[in-house]
Parts: sequence; C-alpha cells; structure tokens
Amino acid sequence: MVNKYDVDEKNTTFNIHNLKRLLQYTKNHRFKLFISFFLSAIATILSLYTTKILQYVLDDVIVNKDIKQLLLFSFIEILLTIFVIAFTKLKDKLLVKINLDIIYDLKNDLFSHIQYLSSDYFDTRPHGKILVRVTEYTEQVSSLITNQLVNTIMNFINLIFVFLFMLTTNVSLTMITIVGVLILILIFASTSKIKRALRQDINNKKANMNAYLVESLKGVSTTQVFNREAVNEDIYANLTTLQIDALNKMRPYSNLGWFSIQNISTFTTCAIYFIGIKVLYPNISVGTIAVMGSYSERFWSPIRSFFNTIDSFIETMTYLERILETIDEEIKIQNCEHPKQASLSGHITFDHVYFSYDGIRNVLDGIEFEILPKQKIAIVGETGSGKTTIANLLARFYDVQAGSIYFDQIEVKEIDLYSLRKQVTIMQQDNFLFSDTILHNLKYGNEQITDHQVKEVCKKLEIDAFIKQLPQGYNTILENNGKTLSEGQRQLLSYARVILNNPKVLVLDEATSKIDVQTEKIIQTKVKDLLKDKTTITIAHRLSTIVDSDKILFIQDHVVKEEGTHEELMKLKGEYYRLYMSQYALYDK
Amino acid sequence: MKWVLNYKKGIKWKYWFYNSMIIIGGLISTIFTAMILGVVIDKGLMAKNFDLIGPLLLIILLITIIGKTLSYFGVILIDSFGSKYTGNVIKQDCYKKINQLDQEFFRKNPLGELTTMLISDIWTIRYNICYVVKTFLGIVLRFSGALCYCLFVNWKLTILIMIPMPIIGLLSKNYIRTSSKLYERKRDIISSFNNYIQENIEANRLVKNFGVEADEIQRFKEKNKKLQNHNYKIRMRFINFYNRVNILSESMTILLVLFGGLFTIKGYITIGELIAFSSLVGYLRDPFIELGSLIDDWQNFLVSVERIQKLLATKPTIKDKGTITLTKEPHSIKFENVSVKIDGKTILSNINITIKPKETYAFIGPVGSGKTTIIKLLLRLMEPTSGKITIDDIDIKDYTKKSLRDYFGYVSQTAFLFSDTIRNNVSYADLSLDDHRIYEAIDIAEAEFVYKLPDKIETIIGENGVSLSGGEKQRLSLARAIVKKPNVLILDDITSALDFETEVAVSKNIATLQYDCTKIIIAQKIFSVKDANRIFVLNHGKISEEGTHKQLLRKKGFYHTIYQIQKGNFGGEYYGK
Repeated sequence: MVNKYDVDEKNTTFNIHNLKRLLQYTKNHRFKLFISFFLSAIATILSLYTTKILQYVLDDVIVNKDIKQLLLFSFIEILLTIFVIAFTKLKDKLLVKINLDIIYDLKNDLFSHIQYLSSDYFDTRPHGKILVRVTEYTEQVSSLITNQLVNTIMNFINLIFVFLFMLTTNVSLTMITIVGVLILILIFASTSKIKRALRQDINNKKANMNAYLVESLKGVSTTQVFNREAVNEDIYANLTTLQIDALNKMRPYSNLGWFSIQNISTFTTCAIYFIGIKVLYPNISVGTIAVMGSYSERFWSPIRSFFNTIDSFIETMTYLERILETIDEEIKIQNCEHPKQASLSGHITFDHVYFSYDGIRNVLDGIEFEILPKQKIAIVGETGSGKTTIANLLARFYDVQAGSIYFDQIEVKEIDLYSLRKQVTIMQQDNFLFSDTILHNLKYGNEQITDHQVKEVCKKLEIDAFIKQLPQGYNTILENNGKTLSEGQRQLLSYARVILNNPKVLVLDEATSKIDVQTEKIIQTKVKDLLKDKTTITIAHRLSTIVDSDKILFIQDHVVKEEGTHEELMKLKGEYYRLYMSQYALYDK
Repeated sequence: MKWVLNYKKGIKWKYWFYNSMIIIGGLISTIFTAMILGVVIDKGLMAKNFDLIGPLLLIILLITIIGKTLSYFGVILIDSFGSKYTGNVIKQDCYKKINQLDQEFFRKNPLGELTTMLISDIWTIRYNICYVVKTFLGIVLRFSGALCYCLFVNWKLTILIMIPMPIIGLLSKNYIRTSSKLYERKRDIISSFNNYIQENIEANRLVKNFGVEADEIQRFKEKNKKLQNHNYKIRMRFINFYNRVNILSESMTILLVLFGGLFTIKGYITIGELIAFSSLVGYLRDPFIELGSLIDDWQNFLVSVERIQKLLATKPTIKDKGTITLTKEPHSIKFENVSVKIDGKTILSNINITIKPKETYAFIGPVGSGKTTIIKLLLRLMEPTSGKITIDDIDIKDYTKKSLRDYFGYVSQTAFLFSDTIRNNVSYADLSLDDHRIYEAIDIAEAEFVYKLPDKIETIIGENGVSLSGGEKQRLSLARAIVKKPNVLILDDITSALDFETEVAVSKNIATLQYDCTKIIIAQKIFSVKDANRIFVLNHGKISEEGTHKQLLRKKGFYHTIYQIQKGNFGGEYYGK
C-alpha cells in the first residue's frame, strides 16, 4: 500500500513499553540523572525552608522588634538562596547535557536504521514523512525524560510537604482539597483518550502537509512550466487548513487543564474558608483557617505543573511511537546467518527467476541466463520488460519470489551484502548528484581514490574539459543537486562515479542515453580499457551501442527470448533481427 | 514583531483584542480576587466579621469563573488566530513566493533551507506570537499592578527592593546582543543538517548501491555532533545568564526581609502592609525569572523573522510584468540574436531562429551544446543575456507568464513525476480534464501499460515514479504534455529510454496529431530529427548548420558526420539485406 501526501499514516497504539525503550537512552547517564534528581529535590526542600523562614520572620521576629534576629535570619536566607540557586544551576547544566545526548543518540539510531531499510520502504511513502521523523520528532521526545521527569519530582516533593503541613494543621479542611483533586483526576482521566487521538490526528495532518511541501518544492520547475502554481498553492493551503483544524479541535481540551485547576483551586480555597467559618468554627481558630487557606493556594501550583507533565507525556508518546515505528521497521534485505565474503569473478547465473514488485504483475517470469566473467553483455527488450529489474536484483535491492541468482555458484542471498555491493555496481537512470563538490561526488564511497585517478576517468569520458572551465574546477559545488548542468553532463558524472567505484560487475542502465552519438562513440572506445577486466552488462535501446557485445540477451514476455552475439542473432532472423533491421532501415537512403 | 503583526492589514486589532481578553480575564481572576481575599482575611476572618465572608467568597467565585472563562476563550482564540495567521497567511505567501522564483534562487537556497523556513521558522513565529507575547503581557501587567500597589504602600521600600532591576535589564540587553550570532549560526546548522538528511533519503538507492551505509552513518554522526555541540554552547551560555538573573531576583526577597523588617521595626510601615508586600513580592520578582526564559525564545524569533522577511522580499529575477495574453492560436516564434552567458561562460551565442506555426523543428548537437537552454528561454525559465525572443513580433516578456507557459507543452529530458495517482500526474496541467482526454493522451504516448496495472489510472506511483521503469516514466511525462493539446509541443529527448518499436510508434503518433501543433524536437538520433521541416545543429552554443535532412547531408558537415556514425554503427555487411 503506497502512502500519498494526503493520506494519513496509520495510527500507532499506546504501549507503556515504549517509555521503557526511551529510558534505555539514559543508560549512560543514570548517575548524572540521579544527581539531577537529588539536586532538584534538595533545592526544592531548601526553598520550602526559605518560605518557612520568611514566614517566621514576619510572624515572630518583626513582631518582637528583634533587629539582631532579623539580621541573622536574613543571613540564613541569603545562604539558603545561594545554595538553591547553585544547585539549580548545576542541575540545569547536567540536564542539558543529558537532554542533548539523548537527542543525539535517538537521531543516530533512527538515521542508521534508515540507511539499511530496503528500497521498498522508500518507494511506498512520501520521503517528506520519513524526513520529519528524523528532524522534528526526535527533538520533541527528549525533554520528557529530563525536564518533565525532574519537574515531576520537584512538584511531588513540594506537594508532599504542603500536603503534610495541611494534614497536621487540620484534617477536615484538608479533605476539601482532596475532593478537589479527585474531581481534577476525573476530568483528566476522562479526556486523556480523546487528547491522544486528537494529538495523533494533528501529527498525521502535519506530516501530510510537510510531505507535500517537500515534494512540491522538489518539482518547482515542473510546476512553473505547467502553470500549476495556483493549484499547488490550493493543495498546500488545504493541507495547512486541515492541520489547523486538527489543532483547533485539540485546543478546548488542552486548555481544559489549567482552566479546571484554577477554578477548582479557587473553589476549594473558598470552600475552606467558608466551611471553616460556618461549620467548624469555633472548634478551630481563625488563624488555622487563614493558614489552611494560604496552604490551599500553594497546593495547586505543583498540581498544575504535574498535570501539564501528563499532557506533555501524552503528546511526546505519539512522537516517540512514530520514531520507534521506523526503528522497528523490518529490514527486508539482510545478510543470512553466515554470509560469505566472496571475491567475485563476475560469473552470473539467473536460474528460473520469478520476480514481482507488487505481488500482482510478474516482471520476470522464470527468466534464466548465464554470464561468464569479463563478458560484455547487452540486455535489450521493450520498455518495462524487466531490464532494470535484473539490475536491481543483481545488486540485491530486492529478493526474488522464486528461483535463484548465483555469483560464482554462490547464491546471492548468501553473499555478504557489503561485499556484494562493493563488487556489483549499477549506474542508475536518475543520475542523482549531491550538493557537494564534483570531486566528492565522484569519489563517493571511495575516499581513497586520488584526484589524479578521478581526472583520468573524466578525461576518458570527455567531461574533463568541461569541468576544468568551471569557476572552481573539480572543487565546484554542484548547487541544487547539479541541476545547473545539462542532463548529458550529469549522466557523464554519474558514469564516472560508477567507473571509479571499480566493481567487478558493472551494470550500465542506459548509461549514455542522454549523450549524443558522437560523444558516445568516443567514450566507448576510451572506456574499453577501463572496463576490460569487468563483467559489464549494458542495458540500452540504441542497438548501435551494443553490436560489439559478447552476448546479447533479448528479453520479451519477461523471459530471455533470444541470446547470442549480434551476428548469431541476425542469422536467427528472429525478433532481434526484425528490430535491428527496422532501426537500420531508417538510415538507408 | 511589529513587522509580523503588520504584515496583513487589520489583523492587529483582532490580535490585541484576544490578548486583552486573556489579560483582563487573568487580571480580574488573580489580582482582584487576591484583593478581595485580602479583605476576607483582614476584615472578615481576623475581625470576626463573619457575615461579610459568605457574600465576598461568592463574589470571588463568580469573578474567578468569569475571568477564567474569558481567559480560556481568549487563549483558544489567540492560538487559533496564531495558527491561521502564520499558517494560512504568512506561510502561504512564502510558498507562493517560492513558486515564483527561479534557478538563481534555488541555487542559493537548497531544499533543506526552504523546508527549515516553512516548517521551523514559521513554527517559531507562531509560538512567539501566541505564547510568548501573552506571557510577556501577563508578566508586565502583574508586575505593574504589584508595583503600583507597593509604591502606594511605601515607595521607599519599593525602591530599595527594586535595586536589582536595572542590573537585570543591563544583563539581558548584553546577553541578547552577544548571543544573537549564536542563534543565527544555530539556524544555519539546522538548515544544512536538514538538507543533508533530505538528500540522503532521496539518494537511498545510491547509498545502498555503493555500500556506503556505514560512511553515511559516520557522516551523519559528525553533523549531528556539530549541531548538538552548538546547542550545548547556547544552552550553557543561557543557563549562566539565567542564573545571574535568578540571583538578582532572589535578592529582592532578601532585600524585602532585611529592609522590610527594619522598616517595620522602626515603625515606618505596619505589619499588615509588610505582609501585603511579601505576598506581592512574588509578582515583582517572578517576572524577571520568567522573562529570562522568554529571551531565549525571543532570540529564536528574531532569527526566524529575519529569514522570512528576506524570503518575502526576494524579487524574482524573471519578472512577470507582461500584460498581453498569448492566445491559443498558431503564432510564429523568433529568436533574434539571442545570447546567454552564465558566470562568464557563453552558453548560447547569437542564436537566430524562426519557428513558423504548425511546422516541425529539431535541434541536434553534442552534450552541453545548449539545446535545453533554448527551450528554457522559450519557457522563460531563463532570460537571455542579450537579444530577444518574440512571438508574433512581440517580446515574450510582454506576455503574461501564465499565458506563455500555457501555450507550450513541455516534456523534459528527465521526467519529474509526483507521488500521486497516474491520473493526477497526467492531468497535472488541468485536474478537471475528464478521463476521455487522459486515455487519449495515454494512447498517443503509447503508455498502455497503465491499463494492465491493477488500479489502472488510479495507481499511486511512488516518490518520483520510482515504481515505474524509465521508459514508462518518460511516456507518462509525454502524456502529461499532450493532454493539454498545446499549440507548441516541446519534446526534449523523449525517446532516450524507449525501445525502438515504442519509439517509432510514439514518433508516428506525434507526427499525426489530430490538431494543429508546432513541434520542437531535441534529440540525439538522426532518425528522430530527419523528418523535421528544419533542423538546427548546435555546437558549443552556436548554430553551426541548419536545413532539412537532405540539405544537411549534402553539406557533408557535422550533421553528415553524425549520420555516418549512427549508420555506420550498424555494420556494413547487413546494408540492404
């Protein structure tokens, strides 16, 4: 099932186990985290005492007009405050380090896993949706463990102290506060499921919106040429509106928290005064009522913080689930248990291979052929007949449904993937270049190549002259993925890149299709030398490109219909002959 | 901030209205209730005047509910407003602007930068106008309220307590000034980091192909580390700053204890007044602590706004000042002395071409000779350095860009398709086209493979048509242009990925289109160009030869050489069999 930009991704389910996995990222920081908690706790307790002292000063010291004591307590306040601030600063610094390290590790794990995911993962969803998980979601989750957790501890301590103070002052009035808390818990419990669902919806809509943004920006030229600006803008505006609507649905709920708390807190405080006076008095002093009232006010601030943390937790979990979803994504193409590090000779066998991308259309239908080392093979056939698929299977981007592929009698599934791909290189049709220098692009995967080697290959490919007259020559940065170069130039750079990778088996998929025939002819001669020890498989439509091949595989109906040298196939007077003659006839004047 | 709020006229009032809802709501439910509570305690409880208490408490409750409800709606309205304004207005305008810009701009602003602008920067702006401003206002109001009251009670004590304030002000100013560069740098690092990841995902096959997964992971780790290190630097500086603000703020409490106590003992103020002071000192002190963390947000905001402003102020190099509508009729096109120079390099030099309606023209030439550049000029994706291009003797600059581009149907060398259904891709130019037109175009483009797919034209192709073969993509790209029934069809090397038979069929279909159409063909093969009314041979940006196929052969020049090579490739012995 291919996901589109305007189709929501399927929602994840809540699993508390995911939180444990996030906690795994704190493994190296357990000690620091513990110290942070400890510091935070101490700071909180000390600041509670500063309040207590303030109170004492107000109540006793000043009343007694004792200046000496005033100075003493002021001094104690200063000391306590210094400690609180110092501990808080230390805690903050520790937490920042932990926070950033967790984000660092999370991003690394996510990115690493993505590198190994098989092609089908990238083929079945907009790339923008993969992108946001690495760039945005990771930033959101780390604060859960650091700031939120620490805040929870701080709040908890505050809460316990205040609660104990209240209990020891008057039990009945404390009960009123408890009723308030219970009502609050009820409100939160009943809305948490909805909040989660709404939050997931917001995330999905945002991912849709951003995926469309990324893709439509990639195709800006096409948009402009087809006057599609207005339509694209409408699509984007719609997606934005959908996201805003989702946010709007959430707002009444997300603000319900502070609204409830502040109302309940006022209510309970008033109730305490009211009940204290109308019901309990005169069994309880006026002073007690006043103190309970003041405690009640102070009780709710940590409660508010605490429930904010819960909301934040709900939100963060939704991001975390998406991240873990990608990390848990199965890597379909993997090494077997004991992969072989084989040094390939370039002998290839396709044995009754059946392959389909979508499980419905068979692109290869029991195809079989054999290629000997160092042979120069050509694969010819109508478009969509499976030629590129053969290339994809050779490099094991996909696994076949039935049949086997052998390199030197070893099944491709048993060869170590890294070793396989270093020796089997495909020059793909899309000629992707990185926004980096030409040199780095050409040395891709082979940093050890010398600049001289690079230039030699470029000379053979007739692209050296062009590069030399660029402003920074080989160090010119290919801005915008090299779109300022012509298609032919990009193709030549891509060709140079695969040659420099020096594989044993080189598959050239329409490697010179965008290059004029004259340049192509020159290159072919020059490159012969570079390719002489390799098995090359050329996929081309221009029959003129392939007449000198050691063997031509003519593919039709998803199998090899005819094979042989050009001369043999012409003698056969079959499909190949027919094709060749009709191409030739056009030149017959 | 002023710029943000003034970007669209009239929204300012809404914005401040919502803010005032929140502020008033907040004010009455905090300060008023605090004052009334004070009365309850002093005049009701302590004075044992119990009858006063009931009604006053009721008033408190009422005011709280009203105030909080006001704030509740105020917050919802302002957050809604913020999302809508930044999303539908500012961000949308940014997107529109990007769609108008050209090669020059995209060279300097890679995709990663653009996504950072429209995702990150917009978010920062929204966050600031929604959350930061209202928090700031709340702080300022509570502070002012408390300050007034304290000054009223005892201005001498108030001033003593407020001594740290100007110091905090100076510290903040200094911090903002010295750390602004760090925030700018952070944004740049994030942008290039995002760009790297985006390219990596796009190049996923290349990564596998070259077996460089481990290398990429290593490279990523380095960039990741760089980002985190920089973030760490910023956060540490912030903590240090914040810490100093904290110390100064807390000292206000100490000053209160010390001087407040002294003043009370000396009898300058009463205990009741001191208690009032101590309950309000929080409102005096906390603002500075909260302001501290707002400064970090503010710094991010400044950087983001600057980028968005810059984007919105960018003027397209290729201006759309034309007013004439190019009608969908046959017109003749002329290139008059057109030259193109980029970075000192000559791409095209003195091009003079006349393209008469309903005829077929072809361009042939080696790699980099400027063929596609000619097309880009025609479509106004580029502009000539000198010379001009006219349609019906009117400079193409004088036509509207829209009517100009509508006139042409362009099939580029590399088809860019979208991850959408085949139907939406083919009808890209006009989504309202009915199926009949789409099938017609698919047939002309020999793309009948579509009918064999399980979902037929509703099949969703992956990002950039990755699930299709090169030839299939090319044909869909052709269908996309043909479906427009354009007056001029531009075919830039469209058969390079097609097998011979398909190529012949496509060429035949194009040659026999059922409506009047000028055709401009760029190709490598003599076969593709030989039937053109006129062929132009491009070499190093100049037209070296032109004429019909026969004329060019007779010239025995470059064209003839190519012909010989292409024919010669077929081997002598089968000549004529």
